[in-house]
Amino acid sequence: MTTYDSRNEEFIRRMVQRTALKKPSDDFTSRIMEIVMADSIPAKSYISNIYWYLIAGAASVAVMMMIFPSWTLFDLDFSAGTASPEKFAGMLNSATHMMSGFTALFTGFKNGSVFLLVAVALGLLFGIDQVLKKFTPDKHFIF
Amino acid sequence: MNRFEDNYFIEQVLSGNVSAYSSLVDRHKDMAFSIAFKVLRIQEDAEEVAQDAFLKAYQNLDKFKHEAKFSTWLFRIVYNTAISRTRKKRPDFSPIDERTMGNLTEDDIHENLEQMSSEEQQNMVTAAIDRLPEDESAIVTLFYMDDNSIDDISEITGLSRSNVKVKLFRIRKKLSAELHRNMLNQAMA
Repeated sequence: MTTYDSRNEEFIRRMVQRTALKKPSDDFTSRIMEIVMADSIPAKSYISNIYWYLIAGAASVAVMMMIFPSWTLFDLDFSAGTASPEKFAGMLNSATHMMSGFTALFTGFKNGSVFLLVAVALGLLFGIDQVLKKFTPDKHFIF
Repeated sequence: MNRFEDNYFIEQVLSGNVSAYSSLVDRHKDMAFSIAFKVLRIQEDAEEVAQDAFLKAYQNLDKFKHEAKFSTWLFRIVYNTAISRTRKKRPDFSPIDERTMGNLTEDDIHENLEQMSSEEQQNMVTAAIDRLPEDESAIVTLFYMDDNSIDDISEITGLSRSNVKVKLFRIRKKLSAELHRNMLNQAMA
């Protein structure tokens, strides 16, 4: 910006600042507060977005494992109840056993039914969160 | 406006002290209303938009991330609501031709304006701002009257930083041209 431009800029600033801000009517704040007081407190969500993403991610993985009970990634075998990298063997074994038991519950189900169940579960979680948020006067944090 | 004070009132509201929201309204109502008015040019519409914006901000207060100032966040809601409303009923106005400076230099305009009474100055500058397109009129108010930075204005209007700078440059030119035109009209009257 040249000296001239900056002088012009300063002049415009000075002139504009001499004009007054527009003011709303006198009862503007009270009208808003009347509506606000009748509304519920905008409490923080019980489950923050990041936890929703984690839940959705975990649910997606669970669904994938049910749809593809045996799969590999980077040469690691993720077949339920079979081989796993040694360092994670114990942990993975118990996890896969749990998953095997869990998937057994759904062996009679078609893939579409599994999706439906997961969707219903997520919907319920979301619904409960919204209801608690709406009807609880004080703010609480689960997470 | 001190953003820490805003944050204090926000925490108060979120902790259950709903009446603390009136402090936030009082602190920002003039600027919020001015932005809406600059865009819409009708008192009742501007009040409605400013009120809606404050209510939207209240209902989403828990989602407000303290990365930006509360005022920036609020003004963005006001600006977007006002702009979307004005697209529905755009008032007719003739654009300012920024090239028509006649034989008066900007220095002459400054000098003539400085010689006017403060009321005359106010009227002339207000009339010039009102002749700008609605988005530019709001940008002038944000930049010169509320000392918002280029980054803040970029956040509020959704324009890029360079676009805001270009607009400010053109606005200054247009204002000078319009002030010149008004002076000529006044001299001829």
